[in-house]
Amino acid sequence: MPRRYKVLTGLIALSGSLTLIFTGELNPVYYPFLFLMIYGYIRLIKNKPQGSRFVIGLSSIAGLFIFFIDAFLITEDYLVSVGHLSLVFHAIKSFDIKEPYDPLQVYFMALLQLVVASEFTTQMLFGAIIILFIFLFIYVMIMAHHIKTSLQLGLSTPLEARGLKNSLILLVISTVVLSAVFFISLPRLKYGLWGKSHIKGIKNAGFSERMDLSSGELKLDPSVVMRVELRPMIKGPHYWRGMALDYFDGRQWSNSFIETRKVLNRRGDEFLLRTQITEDSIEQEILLEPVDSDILFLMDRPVSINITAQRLERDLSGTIYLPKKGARRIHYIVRSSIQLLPEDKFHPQYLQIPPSLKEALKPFTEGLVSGIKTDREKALFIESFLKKNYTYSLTVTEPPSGVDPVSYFLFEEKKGYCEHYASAMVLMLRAIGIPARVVTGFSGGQINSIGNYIIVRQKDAHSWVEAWINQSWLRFDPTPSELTAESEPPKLFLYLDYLKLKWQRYVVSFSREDQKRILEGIKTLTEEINIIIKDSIILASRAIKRAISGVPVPLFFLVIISSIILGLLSLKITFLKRPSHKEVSLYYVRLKRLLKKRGLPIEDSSTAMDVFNYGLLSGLPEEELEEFIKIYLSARFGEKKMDLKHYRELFRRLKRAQG
Amino acid sequence: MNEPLKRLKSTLDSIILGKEDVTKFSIVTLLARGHLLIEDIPGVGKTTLAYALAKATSCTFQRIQFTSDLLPSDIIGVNVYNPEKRDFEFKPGPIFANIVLADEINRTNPKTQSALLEAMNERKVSVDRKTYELPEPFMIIATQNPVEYYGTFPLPESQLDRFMMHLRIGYPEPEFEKKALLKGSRFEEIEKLSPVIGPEEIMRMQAIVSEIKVHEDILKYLHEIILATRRHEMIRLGVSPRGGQLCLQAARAHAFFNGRDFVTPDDIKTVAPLVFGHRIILKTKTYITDATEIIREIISRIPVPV
Repeated sequence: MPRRYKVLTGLIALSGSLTLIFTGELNPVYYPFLFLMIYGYIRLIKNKPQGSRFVIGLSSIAGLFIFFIDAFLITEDYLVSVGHLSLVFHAIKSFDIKEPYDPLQVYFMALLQLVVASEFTTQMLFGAIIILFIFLFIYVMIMAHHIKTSLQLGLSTPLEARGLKNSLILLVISTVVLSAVFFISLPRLKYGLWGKSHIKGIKNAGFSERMDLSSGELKLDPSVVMRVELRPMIKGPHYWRGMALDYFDGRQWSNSFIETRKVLNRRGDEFLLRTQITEDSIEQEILLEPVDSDILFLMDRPVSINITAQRLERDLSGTIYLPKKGARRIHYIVRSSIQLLPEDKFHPQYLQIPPSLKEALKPFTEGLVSGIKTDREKALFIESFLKKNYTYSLTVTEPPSGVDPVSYFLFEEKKGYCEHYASAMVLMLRAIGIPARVVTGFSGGQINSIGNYIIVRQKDAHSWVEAWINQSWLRFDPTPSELTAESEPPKLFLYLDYLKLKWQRYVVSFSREDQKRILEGIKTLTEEINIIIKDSIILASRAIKRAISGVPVPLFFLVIISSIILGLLSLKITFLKRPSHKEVSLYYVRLKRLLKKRGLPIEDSSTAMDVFNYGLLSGLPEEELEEFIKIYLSARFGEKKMDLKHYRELFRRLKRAQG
Repeated sequence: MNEPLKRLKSTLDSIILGKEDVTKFSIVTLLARGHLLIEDIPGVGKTTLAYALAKATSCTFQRIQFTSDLLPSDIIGVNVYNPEKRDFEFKPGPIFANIVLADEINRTNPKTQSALLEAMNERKVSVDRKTYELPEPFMIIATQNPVEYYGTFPLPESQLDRFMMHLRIGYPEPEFEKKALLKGSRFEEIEKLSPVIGPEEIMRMQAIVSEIKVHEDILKYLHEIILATRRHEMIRLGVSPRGGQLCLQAARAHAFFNGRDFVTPDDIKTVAPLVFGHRIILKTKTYITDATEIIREIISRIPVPV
């Protein structure tokens, strides 16, 4: 086997295994097998003896045994254990590559690894790896075929892979293009290939369905939760509403309307949230990363939601749920009204306040807002009061036992984070009889100036206040804005993130809708091209008519016909061009002439075999003569590549021997 | 030469002593999916060659002794009434084998000859409007005796044309003949031969042979030889297009046999006399061997592409 073939086989095994390992799903206990495999291939490339059949067989059986234990008792996930098994088998196989077709098993295993990895990850990098892999894979398959054919022909050196590079590139490109065509045209499957999703959701995404005030510290996690394109792009701060919480038990907020979920009306893939249609709306195209929650985040006052789903639900607090969402990446488009819309319902639950708190807060708040008439102004005053007099802090000391966290924040600690501010404001409003609720979600985010979209991260999780004033819910945010202004991240990061968005949007969560749109786009494009072609033909014929109006018709046709013939001739010349054999034949003819001069019966009808025999007769060295004739024949009639320098050198040696 | 072919060749050489060319060309004919005509006096090993070739390739073997009263159904097979099934049942004849030795083919009547030759060409036989495929690989090795003129029906030219190659075995060299005298009958020895290659492998090789590259200049060279046979003053009828095709195929097999994946002028020069010898008709009545010499003479005048 040629060295290149071995090295490539090792590379393929390595790329498959590394890809699988980088998904992070495998047990690190199996990593040593990777190093064992690398060692095996180093041995192979150095032409060390391969493992005996007995040892290989025994270890294969052991590997299978480990696999069954792994699959049924330890990992209990057949896909992961197949990944483990592939590492083990790669390691065993690396010591057992004897026949030229043995590497095919390696390629198959690597392919299997990529298939398994495709279930574990949807990263863009993986797509790039796949393309690289296809490249390598096709290359070695062609190589394997050449080696096999050469063996069958009994050739001592493998066939030269002529034009391999071009056909390789062509094959890879056509593979990618064909896959893209299939990707666009094949019907979408709703579920993954394996039924069970291995992609893990972001746990604890800075957002939860309850809000506990007693916890101590808030962590700032920069991982991305969602990316939003706004149309039109309006200035922030933006609020991505998740869930409204209404019930406070003294320590914890919760949503008591969670059981009031109702299925939303739909029209195709569009879910309608309101009967009135508003003209002024903001469209939000949201790509939500896998979050372990079935709540959708969107701007206030949604009018409609476009999403590929069986159904959507909404509870009385206005929270939107996608049932059975699980840890999936989802893509949806929301239209929200800019104008205030009258709400039809109000619930007394929004005035709930623990009695002890009411006692403490009512006099305090009434003292603050005395003299202010409207509810709206009162709320605004409380908002700015909290903003001005309290300090934002991520670390909060635990309140002493018996003291509730809100009073502790308001009267003693006087610092806290958004949850404290929001809770305090809602309870203060309720104490003076204004219905209010805490809203959790995300706020702010970073604008990516390249793709013109907003990146929302876990650390942008936020909570704020909604108050029922004049028959509609108004938003208040008592939390002072953060002190540190975020600097624009490096351009490279923005480009990468933009690429990621497109990848996630158009490859990973490619939907039936996208499919339809692309096919329709192609249709209109071809129609447009048709029109353009027709128009240009008409224009061109007119122009030609005008141009040749003075020229005699036969001359015109003569020019056209001769140019066609010239074009065809030039095509023929370029197509028939082959590697030149002039030089190849030159030395052979010179050898023939030399022998003839010595008086040997060399004629025009003498073949290479005659030349060889007479050459031996005249005392030429057999080895050189044989090699010379062999190279000549294979280059001349087999059209093989040759080392011209070596050929020339052989001729010189023969000439010298001739004397 | 690749390993299995090398082994096959040396096995045959160990049976038929001193006839290296004959064993080589029979293997070449097999690789080229052709049929072989051996013309020689009795007792020089024609049957031995055919039997040994079949045995060494673990192909099935049948021998048909052609006599003047042989009927086509004796070769192809007949429909026999089966009283249990109340239906006719096909009983395949001896032609249903990988390698068939048609011994003394010119002793039978033209009707039977043509039945055999049709099967050779089509690689299938028809009985009562039903067609039966012959096994693959399929090769007929026919023999005819040049000296026995009594009671023979010489093969017409159109039927000779179906044989790819025509060989003569000839008397052994003195040294080998002495050895052969001691050895006596070969059949027990052949019976004990262990196969060195299988029929599937032969079919694979046959597939590769038909893919072997032929340079344009080689085609031109072959064509010039063919044209020269048609112009020669001693030849009444030159080589047919089918003869040219078979020659090219034989040259490919010869190239493969020598471990190459392309044809050289030497391949053509080697096989052409054996492929063309029985295809041309001379103006004076002579043996085929003379025709072979004329072809050699023609080739020696055609310039070889360089």
